[in-house]
Amino acid sequence: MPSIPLHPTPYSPPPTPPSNPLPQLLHTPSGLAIVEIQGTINLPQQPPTTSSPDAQQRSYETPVGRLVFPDGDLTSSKLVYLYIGKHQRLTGEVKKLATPFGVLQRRDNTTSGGGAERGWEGEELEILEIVRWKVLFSQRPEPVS
Amino acid sequence: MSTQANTGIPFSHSHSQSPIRLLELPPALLSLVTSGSPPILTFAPRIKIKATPTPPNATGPRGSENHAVLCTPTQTFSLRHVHCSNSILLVQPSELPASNSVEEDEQQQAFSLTSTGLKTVATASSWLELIPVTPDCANILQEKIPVYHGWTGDNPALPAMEEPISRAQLLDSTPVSDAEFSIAWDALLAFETNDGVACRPSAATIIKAISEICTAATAESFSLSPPSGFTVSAILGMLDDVEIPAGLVMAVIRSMCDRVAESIDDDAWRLNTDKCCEFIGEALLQDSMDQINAQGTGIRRLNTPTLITRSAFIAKWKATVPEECASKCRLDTIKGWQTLPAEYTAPFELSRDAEPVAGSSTTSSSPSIAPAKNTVPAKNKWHERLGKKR
Repeated sequence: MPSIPLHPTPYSPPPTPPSNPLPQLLHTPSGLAIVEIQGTINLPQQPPTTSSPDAQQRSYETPVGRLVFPDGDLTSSKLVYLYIGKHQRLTGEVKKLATPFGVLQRRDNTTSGGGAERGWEGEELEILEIVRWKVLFSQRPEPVS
Repeated sequence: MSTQANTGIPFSHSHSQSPIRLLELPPALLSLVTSGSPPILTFAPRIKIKATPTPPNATGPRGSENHAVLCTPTQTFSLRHVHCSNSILLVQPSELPASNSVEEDEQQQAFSLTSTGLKTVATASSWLELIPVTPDCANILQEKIPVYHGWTGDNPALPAMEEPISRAQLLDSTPVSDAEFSIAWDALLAFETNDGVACRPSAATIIKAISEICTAATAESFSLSPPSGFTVSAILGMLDDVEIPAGLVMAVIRSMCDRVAESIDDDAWRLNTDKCCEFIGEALLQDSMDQINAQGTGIRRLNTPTLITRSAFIAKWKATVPEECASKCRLDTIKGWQTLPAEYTAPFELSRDAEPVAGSSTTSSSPSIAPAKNTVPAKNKWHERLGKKR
């Protein structure tokens, strides 16, 4: 089996978002960040709406809640709250990853031609982003009014 | 943005989730990835993921899986899936719509002040861990690379192969880093034939190549130790009428000489007498071993007729090396092979395993040469017995 190259940077780097609401410490060039939850978020089953052209342009997003950093600079406190829906709140903290994570994705090689016919041979991977911090929620959700 | 910190960042889940994997980046890999050298300039990718066959001692249901390794230019890492009971979400800033549509939650409308939220774009329940490994590259290559038996027409040079493979193809399919591969490749004197087929020479072929080079050099009064070195092309020029593959000549020269100058066209080499002696001595011993095995008498027997005498071996050795090296032919310079003390002209046997034959301590001390590489514990016992005997 031939080897698969792993490219250290993406072919088309994702654009830097115009504004990033996260604290500076968690900023990355592509805006990607990691949130780790001890549990899963239950989402309502809703089919994506394709009625209006506008909705087709935007990817459908289900609001989940809100993320609150009491200390916006994360200097005095690394505390974070995640409000889920109307009734739950998770308490967590910003932690440095022991080993940074690379976010890998398959490289889209459409420019080099061949497309789907190449199958396995054309497989290439790339590192989209390197993330060094995460927001970790390891406590049970508390009820909030 | 302290206002946002107090009211919170809208957090949503995107329905178009991207397929991603998380990979741990230990310091060695991290520095490679962030080194900043643009990948476009490198022709061969610097980091590669290769498949490796399941190790033979793997048991259980996982034994049937294929494993993968990640190779940097110098290191090999085994890739391991680590599952996590937590949900690892990848989030990204998301521009909220200016006008709220009817379907959206009431909660959303409370955040009309804030224009940027976060959305989850991917979920991971595992990540890939890297474990450094040092594969036995020498063994892997020894099995994969066919043996080349020589350019004279007695036997076919290479065994019949369905798909002859080049060095580049071999590197691609061997789960080791480039550096480890090169070291093992050079140690086996592997080379590519003029048709680009990767192979490694048998000991007999190596000796034949050495004698061709030395004979040609002597015939044309060509010095192998000039101050500024000689080039491989010069050697190849002298061997024009011999059908020896250029790759083999290169491999032999590399084993006998040191590089003295590097150039784009042709490096300059100069004979290293110690290195050369050891190399040729080992090749001769290996050749004798191959001959014994070919005769089917590999197992050492007590009192069987000797196969080569010590003096004959040293004479052959001195005859094979270039003139400058003849004085350096001493058995103790060949690493990994042991000798028992004995009469200078007493016969000896070659044996593959270092276990001393039961009778050797009581009968006439027939000296022998045995490779220490194969059985280290037995070799230690050997030394003890020798020490007592002396």
